[in-house]
Amino acid sequence: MKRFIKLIALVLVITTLLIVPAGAENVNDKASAYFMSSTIYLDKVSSTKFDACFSVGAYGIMDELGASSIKIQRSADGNSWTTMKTYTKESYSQLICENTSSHAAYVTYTGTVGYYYRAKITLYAKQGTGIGEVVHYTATLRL
Amino acid sequence: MKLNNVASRREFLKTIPTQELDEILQAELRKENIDDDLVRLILDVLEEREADRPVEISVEVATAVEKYTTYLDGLGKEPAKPTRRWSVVLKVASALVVVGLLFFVVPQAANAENFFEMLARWTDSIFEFFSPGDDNKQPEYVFETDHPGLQQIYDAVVELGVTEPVVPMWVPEEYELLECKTTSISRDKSVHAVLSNERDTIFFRVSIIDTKNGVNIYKDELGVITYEHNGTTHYIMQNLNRQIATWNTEKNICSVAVDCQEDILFEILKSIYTTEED
Repeated sequence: MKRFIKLIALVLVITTLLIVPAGAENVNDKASAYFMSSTIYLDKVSSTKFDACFSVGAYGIMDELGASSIKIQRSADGNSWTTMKTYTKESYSQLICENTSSHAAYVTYTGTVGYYYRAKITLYAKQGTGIGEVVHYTATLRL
Repeated sequence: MKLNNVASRREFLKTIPTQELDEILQAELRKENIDDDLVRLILDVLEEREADRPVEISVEVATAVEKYTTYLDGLGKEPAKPTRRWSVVLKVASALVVVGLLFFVVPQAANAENFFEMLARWTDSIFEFFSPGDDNKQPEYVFETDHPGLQQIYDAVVELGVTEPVVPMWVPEEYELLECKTTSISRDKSVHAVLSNERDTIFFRVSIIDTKNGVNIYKDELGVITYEHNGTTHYIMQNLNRQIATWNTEKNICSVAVDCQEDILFEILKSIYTTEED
């Protein structure tokens, strides 16, 4: 009985995902349909500065490929996090590359010594009317 | 008290050391009035002493050798024979002849160009010989392909400093290279390539590992199997309708993904490790 219920639920989910209004963008398509491989990390540059980096490879040549946003988060104890700054593709053009299957970029942030930092990076791919996004957190860095 | 008795004087002189007697004799002979009796007595004593001294041993070589040989026979040993220079020359000449046969006559009989090539041929038969200083030499990795797109990918990988075999040497003929792109920022360097035949697509990616960073490979919920080839473990997974293989070398993480049949993926993987002997 439980298995039957699960199967019905799966069918409903799949059916819902397949219902697409004409002309609308498919936001948040299954990410693996677009992305093949990625790397994300923080790279310490000096005692107070670090780069938030990403590299992404896609399944095919995308109209747009890169990161839709990078959020720099800070914590005093490594447990509770606060977003200190957000970089978006609209404001930072280096985050997106057009007509490509691979892209890499970074942003530089100046932090405060003694705090923990991490980056929340949302990878982004657009091809035709389809869009794929996947969120990753970098490892923690302490200044 | 003067010793007038000759015998007593003789006995007295016998108690005096020879050197002193000689000095007394010399002193007496320098006098104007020499005591002839004293001189005679001293000479008699010295002559007696000379006669009593042991006779010096004179060695006779032949007799000594005979005695020594007899002694050794008793021990069961033969005396060492003297080394002749000509026997050493004979041994060296024999060694040179053997070496000459090995290096020149035998290889020609086996239709080989040189001794070391003959060693290589024996490797394929029963057991393996190694050339001096060439122990266990493995065929060097040589990239060779007829596909211009794969050559372009290889050139990009080499430019990143990757020397390990990571690039396939074969893909089906009809696939053309759409894009080969190198990205390099901070500590991340990657080559990403897309090949297509207008129906299906092959994707290739190699990333140089920085030990602090991980690499994400996107897959679906189906399981992962392993494929061993050339000492490397390849992880095979699926991503929707694509077959993906990913593996790591000492410094790189590599991935190949295909839209087409799975057997094509395995042929592509095998072509990465083709050596001169294959």
